[in-house]
Amino acid sequence: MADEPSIDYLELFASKAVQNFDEPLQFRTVVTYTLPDGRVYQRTTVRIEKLNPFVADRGVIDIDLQDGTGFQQRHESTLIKTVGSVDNANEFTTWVECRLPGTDQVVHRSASTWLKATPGMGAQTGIF
Amino acid sequence: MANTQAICTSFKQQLLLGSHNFGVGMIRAATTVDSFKAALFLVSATINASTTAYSATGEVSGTGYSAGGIAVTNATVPTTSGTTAFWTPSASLVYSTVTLSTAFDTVLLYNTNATTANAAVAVYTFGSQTITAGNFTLTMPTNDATHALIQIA
Repeated sequence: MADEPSIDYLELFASKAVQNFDEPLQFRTVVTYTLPDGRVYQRTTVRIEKLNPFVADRGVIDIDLQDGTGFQQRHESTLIKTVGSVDNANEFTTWVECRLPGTDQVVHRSASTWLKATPGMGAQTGIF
Repeated sequence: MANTQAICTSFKQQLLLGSHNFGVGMIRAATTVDSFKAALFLVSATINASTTAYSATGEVSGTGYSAGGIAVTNATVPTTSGTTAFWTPSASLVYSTVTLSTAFDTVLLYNTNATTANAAVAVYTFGSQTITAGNFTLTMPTNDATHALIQIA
């Protein structure tokens, strides 16, 4: 199946809509790309300005600096979070990436995929 | 009444239950449910309809991931609707707290109890992913005749 197009590809060939949300606890930017064939990709960047008391118990996440030190835990508010989705005929996938501020290193990435189309198997009688 | 040519729907279901043997040397001894696993494969691997059994060649590797993948939860027996037999795992496939740095795009479902060791069942592909200290979740489709993970129509 086709991979998610790169940002460069989307910037070149897709129509783009940008929405900014200045919310009490975070600043959120949602970029929606629509390709000519109708495929839609969405990327959301969230900058958490302060701890959200309502989700405090979910604020600590695992990170991997990939330097051999294993997994560590960081509060989400100390990271730059980007979420996105892929919605096409085959799947609906959402993903979240977290980077250290000021770097491009992804230290946390999770994804959830829902397969829409599965390979069916036909059975039919033969002809005498 | 009129007669209608067809593959019997009950037979389709019984294929999923291992009730028929058209060959020789493939006698099922077990009467209990088999165990299935789900392994992830790299974008660079070659897993397709010709794959006959699980092999670690091309499989993902990384922190928190064990070769062979994870067990598939199977609490729902195959059933039929209309003329289609179908089956779906009864829980999502979740690879928890893993780092898989090399892009993967395929999951292979295979039978660990099959007479042919680790016999392949089905291959499913999706957009390529990497995971860093996170979870990869494959949510199962609705278990019905048009969405189930395995359908014999």
